[in-house]
Amino acid sequence: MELDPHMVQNHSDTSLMEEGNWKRCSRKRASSSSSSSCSPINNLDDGCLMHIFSFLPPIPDRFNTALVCHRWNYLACHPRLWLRVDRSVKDLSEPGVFPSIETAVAASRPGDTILIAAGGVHCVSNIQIKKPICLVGAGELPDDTTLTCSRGADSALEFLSTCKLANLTVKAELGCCLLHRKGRLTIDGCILQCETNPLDYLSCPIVSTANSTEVLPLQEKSNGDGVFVSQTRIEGGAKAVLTSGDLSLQRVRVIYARTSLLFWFDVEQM
Amino acid sequence: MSGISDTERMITLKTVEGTLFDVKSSIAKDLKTVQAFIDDSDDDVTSPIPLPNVFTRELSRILDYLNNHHRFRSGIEKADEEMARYDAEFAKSMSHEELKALILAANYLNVKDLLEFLNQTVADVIQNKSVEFVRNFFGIENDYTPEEEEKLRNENEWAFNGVEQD
Repeated sequence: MELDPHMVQNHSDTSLMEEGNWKRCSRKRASSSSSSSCSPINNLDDGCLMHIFSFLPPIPDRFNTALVCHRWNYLACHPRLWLRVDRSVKDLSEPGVFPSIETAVAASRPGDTILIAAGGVHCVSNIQIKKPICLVGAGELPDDTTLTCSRGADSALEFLSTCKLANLTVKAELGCCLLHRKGRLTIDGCILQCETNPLDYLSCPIVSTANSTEVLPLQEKSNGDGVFVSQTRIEGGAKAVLTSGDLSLQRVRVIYARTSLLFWFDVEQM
Repeated sequence: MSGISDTERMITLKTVEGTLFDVKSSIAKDLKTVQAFIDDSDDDVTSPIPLPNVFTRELSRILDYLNNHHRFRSGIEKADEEMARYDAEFAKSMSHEELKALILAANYLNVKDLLEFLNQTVADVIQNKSVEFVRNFFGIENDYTPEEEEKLRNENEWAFNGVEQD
């Protein structure tokens, strides 16, 4: 099934797809013997199951449904359940589509993924994100989806919760691109750009004011706050990362791609 | 809903068990699968339309629901309250088994409003329940290996960080 981010959540679409999905799912279920005989409701087509999932809050229920079986994982995390930001949307009553990132963030529930349409420029300034969400660019490359923060704003996006950004470009003219206050921020495959010769020393792509939290001993995985960057281009700014808390830059790796540098690093407690 | 329906034609539907139901064409319009069948037939549909996936108990419930909703909609102003009360009773009157069977039937017949209501009801049932409960409800076998499941839980942990678990 092709992941088409522009697929509109539309019941008439569902009924057209029903036939094909029903057949496909029956073939898949044939391998497991007992389930189909004792409970035919699992034979519901993908459209109907996704409709049920759309009523569930992402945390914890939709993530719970993803753990049920492989097929449900595919459906529960399907882009059709994501919120979409499309600046050109005319019909504001269309569910799940928003004209701006602010409105999508406001309407989102913890755990939602917001897909931002490619093309053009999305103006953002000081958008505070206080719940765990995921922002994803809809283009093929991070260059296709650009968030620009104009002068006068401290930052494009301010994170007070664990979040994830993927496949986006964030540009800041004067302030910083990403202001990290707390939580675990994951930045994967993005482009962060600031002015090349900034006057203000605070103009950095990533600024983190977070402090390390109490980490229990014997914890297998660190759960402390931090910023985790992978495969990301960082350009301009006084320096790439500015920390005013006690987190520090670690494990920096660079790959020299054809026209740019790609970085991997973490900003967390030593 | 189309305003131009001259005579109220009756459509006959036949369930799996062979029971025949006479349905007004205005009600049949809400059964989109049936309506599509009628639209696709060149001649007037006179013989009973067979519904190979629908049982008598489910069809009778669906028709009850539709008849009541039509009655509410064409009635007095305060219909919303009555409809909500009817819907709540309707949902409560069914066991989980009956609810599941009804969703399958409503999905097959493509009854939009009822499906919306039933799917919301099922979502309410599985909300805040454990993965095991959901698997049992839907009769799904876990096809994850313990390692895969552990990995998936870890991957999704980013979202649960900081959220209070009750």
